[in-house]
Amino acid sequence: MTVSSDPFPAPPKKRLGDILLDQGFISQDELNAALAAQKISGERLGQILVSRGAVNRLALSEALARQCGLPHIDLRKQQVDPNTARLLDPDTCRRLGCIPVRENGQVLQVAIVDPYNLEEIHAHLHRVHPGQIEYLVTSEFDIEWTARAIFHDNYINESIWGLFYRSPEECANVPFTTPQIITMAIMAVFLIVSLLLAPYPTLLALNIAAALIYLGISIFRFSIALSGAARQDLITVTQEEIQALDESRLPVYTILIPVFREKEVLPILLQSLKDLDYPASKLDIKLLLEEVDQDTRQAAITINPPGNIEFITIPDSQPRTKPKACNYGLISARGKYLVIFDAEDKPEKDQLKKVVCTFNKGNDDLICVQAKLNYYNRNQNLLTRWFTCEYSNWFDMILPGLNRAGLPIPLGGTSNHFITEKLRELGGWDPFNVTEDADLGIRMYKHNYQTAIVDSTTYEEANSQLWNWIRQRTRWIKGYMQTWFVNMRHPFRLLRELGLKGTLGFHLTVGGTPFLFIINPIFWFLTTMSFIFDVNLLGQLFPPPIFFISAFNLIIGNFVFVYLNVISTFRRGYYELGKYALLSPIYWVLMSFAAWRALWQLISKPFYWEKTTHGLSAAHHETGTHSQEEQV
Amino acid sequence: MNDTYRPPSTKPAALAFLLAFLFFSVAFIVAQTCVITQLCAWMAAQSSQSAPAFADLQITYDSRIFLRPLQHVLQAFLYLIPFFHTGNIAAIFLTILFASLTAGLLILTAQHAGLPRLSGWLLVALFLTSPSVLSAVLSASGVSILVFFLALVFLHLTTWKNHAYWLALVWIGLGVSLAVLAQFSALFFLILPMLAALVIAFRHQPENIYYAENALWIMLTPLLYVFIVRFFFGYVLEGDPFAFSQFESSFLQDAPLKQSLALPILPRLAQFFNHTLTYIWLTNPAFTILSATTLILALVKRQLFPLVYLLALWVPPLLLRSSAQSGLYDPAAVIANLLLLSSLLLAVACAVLLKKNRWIFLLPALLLLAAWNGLQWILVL
Repeated sequence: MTVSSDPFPAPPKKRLGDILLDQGFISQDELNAALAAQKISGERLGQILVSRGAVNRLALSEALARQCGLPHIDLRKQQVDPNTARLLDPDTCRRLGCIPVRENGQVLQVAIVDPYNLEEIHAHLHRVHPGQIEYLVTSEFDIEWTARAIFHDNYINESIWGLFYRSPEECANVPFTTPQIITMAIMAVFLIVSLLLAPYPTLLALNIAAALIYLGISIFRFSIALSGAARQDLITVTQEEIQALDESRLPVYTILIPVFREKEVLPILLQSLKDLDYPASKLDIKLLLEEVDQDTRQAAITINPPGNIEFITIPDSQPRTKPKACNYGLISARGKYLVIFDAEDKPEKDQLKKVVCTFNKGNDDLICVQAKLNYYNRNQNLLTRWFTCEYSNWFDMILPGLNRAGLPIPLGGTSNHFITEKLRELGGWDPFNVTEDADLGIRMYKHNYQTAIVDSTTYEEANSQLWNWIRQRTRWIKGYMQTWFVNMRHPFRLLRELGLKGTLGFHLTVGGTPFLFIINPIFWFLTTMSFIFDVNLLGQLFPPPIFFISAFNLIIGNFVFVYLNVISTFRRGYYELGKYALLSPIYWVLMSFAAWRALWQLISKPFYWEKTTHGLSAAHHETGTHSQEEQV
Repeated sequence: MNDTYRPPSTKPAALAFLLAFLFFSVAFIVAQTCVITQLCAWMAAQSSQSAPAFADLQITYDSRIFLRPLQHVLQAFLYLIPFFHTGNIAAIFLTILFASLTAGLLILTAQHAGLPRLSGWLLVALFLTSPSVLSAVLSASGVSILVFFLALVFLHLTTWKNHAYWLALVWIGLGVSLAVLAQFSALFFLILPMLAALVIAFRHQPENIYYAENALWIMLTPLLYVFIVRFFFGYVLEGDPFAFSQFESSFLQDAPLKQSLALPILPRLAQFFNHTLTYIWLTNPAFTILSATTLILALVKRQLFPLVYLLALWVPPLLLRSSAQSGLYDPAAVIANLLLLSSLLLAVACAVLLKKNRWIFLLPALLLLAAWNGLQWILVL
């Protein structure tokens, strides 16, 4: 059909459902169920059928073409002329749902998704091509796929350098800037000279500084944890509010799921997505697969997910990190809101609706909602028990405490929900930072945006193997160090952007966490030496006030951190873990080992992403999938 | 586990604390400057006493400080500030601080029990005007430190029973362990409230044994830590796991302190106590009457908890009665303060049991306590 003056299709003579029924794509029952769902969600029938897996997108686009009398095109089989496709930029292609395919003489052939929404497309195309235009119907995923193939370099550039182009000072593409290296070198020289000329005063000064910082962090953590635990969340959502949501008014929600060498957990992922209480037709789910990881890709194809799950292959390039994959997915995200889930995550069913309510109740500056994280395989072994104690403390007490105190929140690894447009404005995630989530939390705070903590939990798989755990923890601590150094490129600017309270919170949380783990073994060594050899052996390093502060740190500080873990297990309802929390000091030894490893990696391999192997929990091996109720 | 319970506002308690702090401070200053009236003379006499619970020696900043009683550790903290080096100022400050905190706790007790706001303030008024409290504060004896931790445990025992609120368990655990740090024998006073809390946990979730187990760990962890610090450090530093007990007992053998203890703390009242110490029910008639009322009401209402509560309140004075000394304290002073506190707590417990017509009980109970305060003043002056 050649159209220029009147390109718009005539009103349909036959309903889409009937066409699909006639062609045997769907059964009458499936059509009835979809029509019933349409009454609730208000979504298009085609979208509903696709999201339910009743029909695939190709068949839907064929039926749509038949309905409106336009030709159909399968972009995976037809050649697309790159020069013609570039008549539109990738953003416009995505926004309008179209892509120029080729020029056939004077006629421009354009693949479109929605033949009943041609006014804007036609007006736009008419400006770049005054001649005749022929419209061909295709599927949404095919437009995306073709755009990614044509604009390959743009996508890669945006996902790697998007943040750098917007704000180079906030990007960790170099671990240390030249002024930072010079400052550290001067400090190192000063320290060595001081140690040579006046060893006692130098060591004493270091000791005093460490003891005071340690004391500050201990008091801060304890007060923040108690405040977070004893008081209500700033924004609370009731079950009544969730039930009162009108599903037809719910926005499209993008779910990004970066997957790398995790084929074992795909069945769990699929089940968790099906369990979500949100209209499936309004879920824009993107499975982000690495080009080099063909095993997971094949496994994903084999499980035959419903049509609302899009596979996106991330072209292989450095850095091969999760944030880069997320940025790649973010480019084509359609949702008003967007969330990251890991492949093995099991979010609580009503989490998305709870987050929608939270955004509705929050003010304009609220652009991120962090759900709580915890573990479903907590009782697998001692390591998973300790890990669960730690997470219960961090997500149930510390983060709500930071939120209540109005301090920057280092986001957790998954289940961060964003307003998509705001996330794009901020430049997405830093692909060079190995804890991109924590970094993004600080960046949002710097830009005067707010984060809320929602009382909904995503259950993950706790790392159950020691070396795997150490690798993961090394990455996390290295990421905190990276984040600290990136933000400390301009300390005074940071102070201006975060304010005094925010800066203190940033140092005590992001800087304090690695500091504690680094410094702990030194103090443990000194304490042991003082017990073994002579009580007063180190007396010179501990004049009365400093001795008292150090002893307070040792005795009260350790108690406080152990006790917070015991309390957090009780609050979480993991009553059987209380006794294991008492053994937390052994866990801290592991953390310190990981911290020293992280420090070494920060210098030697700053961007190296130590991949955590998932799918190790006994639950996966036994059943493949466990329902949330069984686990929690 | 009840995580939805939100405790009442602490603002009234904070106000009570501030007012009590102001009241005790003014009383101390008046005692120092005014000796005109009989009352002022008595106050001056009290304030001139040495501080028996505190270290009359240079605090040594080595690990052994943690083998010493809590009072000394707190003193050592204060000694980091030069202002507190003068005279007994650290001891006075700590005693006033904890007595004022107890006043705040009384407000919280009334709030937690759901009693009218006025009743909390009346409890505070009775506490502040008690000669035994004032005597302990003015003599900077440090008794108020131990009393505060006991009050903390009993208040939160009720909260735990009524609301299954996790923070109550934390306070019970911290209260017990800090009381033990202040005076080792407090462990024996507080076993019963801890057991009661454990039994309550069993009753909250009888089907889940781990619930009670975790509750026990929350209460025990601080106590275990106190023992680790005491026994382990005692063994490592002094070669004796019970070294801490020497710090408590040998302290009383120091000459200046012996002298101070020999001085009558509350001359006529102490004399009265010494005669009646073996007859604990006569030591504080108001406490005895309120105990009997609680017993009757609990039996009538068929409630077990008030009986356990009552028993737990009776154990400390009964144990102290037979001891010649009570850690760092004169037992008479501890008993006098404990009984007053227990009377106030029992008044609240009875009012809660009655549910309706609380004022009909509260009014005579508070009048009884006021009358006993008045009688003590007559004895003192």
